[in-house]
Amino acid sequence: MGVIEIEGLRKTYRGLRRGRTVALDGLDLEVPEGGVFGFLGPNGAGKTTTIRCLLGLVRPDGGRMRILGREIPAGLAGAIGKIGAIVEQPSFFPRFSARRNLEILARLRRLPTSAIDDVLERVGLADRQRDAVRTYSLGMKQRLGIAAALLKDPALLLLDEPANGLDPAGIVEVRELIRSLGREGRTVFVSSHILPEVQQVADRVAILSRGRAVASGPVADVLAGVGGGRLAVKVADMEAGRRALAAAGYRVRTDGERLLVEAPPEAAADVNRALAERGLYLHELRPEGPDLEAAFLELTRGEAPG
Amino acid sequence: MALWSSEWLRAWSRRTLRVLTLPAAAGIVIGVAIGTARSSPPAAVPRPPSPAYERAMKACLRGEFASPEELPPGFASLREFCEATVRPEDFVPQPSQVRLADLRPLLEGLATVVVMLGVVLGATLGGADWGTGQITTLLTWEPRRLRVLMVRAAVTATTIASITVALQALLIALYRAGVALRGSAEGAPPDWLAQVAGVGLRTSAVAALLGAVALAVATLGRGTAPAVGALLAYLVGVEGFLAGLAPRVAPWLLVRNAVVAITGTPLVVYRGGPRLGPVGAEIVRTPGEAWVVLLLWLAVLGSTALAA
Repeated sequence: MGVIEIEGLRKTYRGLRRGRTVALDGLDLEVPEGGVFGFLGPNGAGKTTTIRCLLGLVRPDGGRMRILGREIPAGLAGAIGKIGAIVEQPSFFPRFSARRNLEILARLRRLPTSAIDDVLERVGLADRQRDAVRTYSLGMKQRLGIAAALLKDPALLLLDEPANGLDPAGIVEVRELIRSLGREGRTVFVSSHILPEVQQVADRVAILSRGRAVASGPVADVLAGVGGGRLAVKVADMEAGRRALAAAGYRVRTDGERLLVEAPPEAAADVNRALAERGLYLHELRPEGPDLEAAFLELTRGEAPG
Repeated sequence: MALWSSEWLRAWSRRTLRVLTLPAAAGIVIGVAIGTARSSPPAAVPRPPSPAYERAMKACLRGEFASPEELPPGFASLREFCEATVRPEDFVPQPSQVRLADLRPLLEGLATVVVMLGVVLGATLGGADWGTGQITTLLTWEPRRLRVLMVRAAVTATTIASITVALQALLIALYRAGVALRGSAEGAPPDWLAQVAGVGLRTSAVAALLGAVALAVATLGRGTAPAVGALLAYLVGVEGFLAGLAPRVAPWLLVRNAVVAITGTPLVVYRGGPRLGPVGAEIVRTPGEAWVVLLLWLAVLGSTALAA
């Protein structure tokens, strides 16, 4: 049984100006317990709508959802104590201190003040806890959002673009935090458009396109599903090399000072032989597995990545 | 209780509360201090009738106030009517004085300010976290919207009631001290305290109720500024226009019912005239009915806010 189970989720927004917008078109998704689950998709694919539906913030038009074994939205009140969430930009009262903002939330669950101390320490805001949130940088607000999500000591974290607005150091911090949360046995559901980040931390991913999951599973399986990878080759005479490999039946193209050959890593010996037979000797041969970005673009072709 | 405690902390952490109430309290202290300082004790000797009194009495005796043939019931002669109507004390220049008898009208006069304070507080306490987006964070902790909004309305009403009761109690206490120091208790009814306490509590109740209405409007408008703007425009502009254009709707208007509820005086309309027959007064809204109408307003707007 998954921590999150979604079947046939549908949501259409109706507006006077923009008319009818299908955000979710029968989404099926299962997120297993523990680890980090990456939720990817271009802008408008329905990522945030999915999270909002799971949290009862918008009412879906159809489909079923279960979180931690409870039907949503009927059982949400019973499950919410074990769910920490950031939806879009984390929002706080700007004139209140970080501590006061967390105190207001902590009272909702009768959490001790030590819980506030712990999360502030964990996200590195202990020194600035008495300052008004409006004086915080975007990255600090993002960290405060994560602190608020962690305050309940949740079994499931729903993080919508948690690295948004962070500088490179902040991104690394958040990455490490997400990794450690996943290792603690929590389930961390991360929606993000920073694909390399997700690839570095996620155990499993789902790729969303036009309101449907077009791929889902362990990262390796999803990557395998979109092609067998390629080999990057460097030889002294690039044009001769390209002709030799094309004559040997490979799809090959020039990419700057190297040739990219559409072939799995195990074809490296054959590629080497094909070149050597024509008197062309390798300067470099390196397998390049398909990355998540390539998979993402392949699976969501025709939509702007976001 | 957990939600109440959280909402209470949120409400009382708002800077707006301090920004609005501390100057109001300071204004009360300064106002009463100035009034007391300028107050002079009543003159020990009776003042002679003023020339204005003499002129009014002569005019009355000439039949300018009522014709001798059409005296109101209970008066046998024009002189008797004039002596009852034109009283010398009404023409004696009043010294600037803190008078206990003036406390009730003073509180009733300030009721508008107190109620507007309630409206602004209600709108700001209800609209703030729509503006900041904090409502989303809150709903990820307590997803039962009905519960959230009901508790918020209760906390807002209690907060407004507490603040306005405290401010009015401060005014009453300082005013009473001013009367004791340099004013006069002459003419005040024996139950003056019960009367002013009644006015103060009714004003606070109306302020709390209209504050909850403002909270509902802020929830509908998803922000403080739209709610304050819309409510002030409605209360000051639209209701005045409606009352003038269609007097029949007056008994259903917020301002009219608020006035009836606070003063305890029924809303009366006078019907009749040259074409319509004898003029007669008709009570169109009693104080009890006014409270019901105010609660109806809250119920309708509150339900709409919950459904939106």
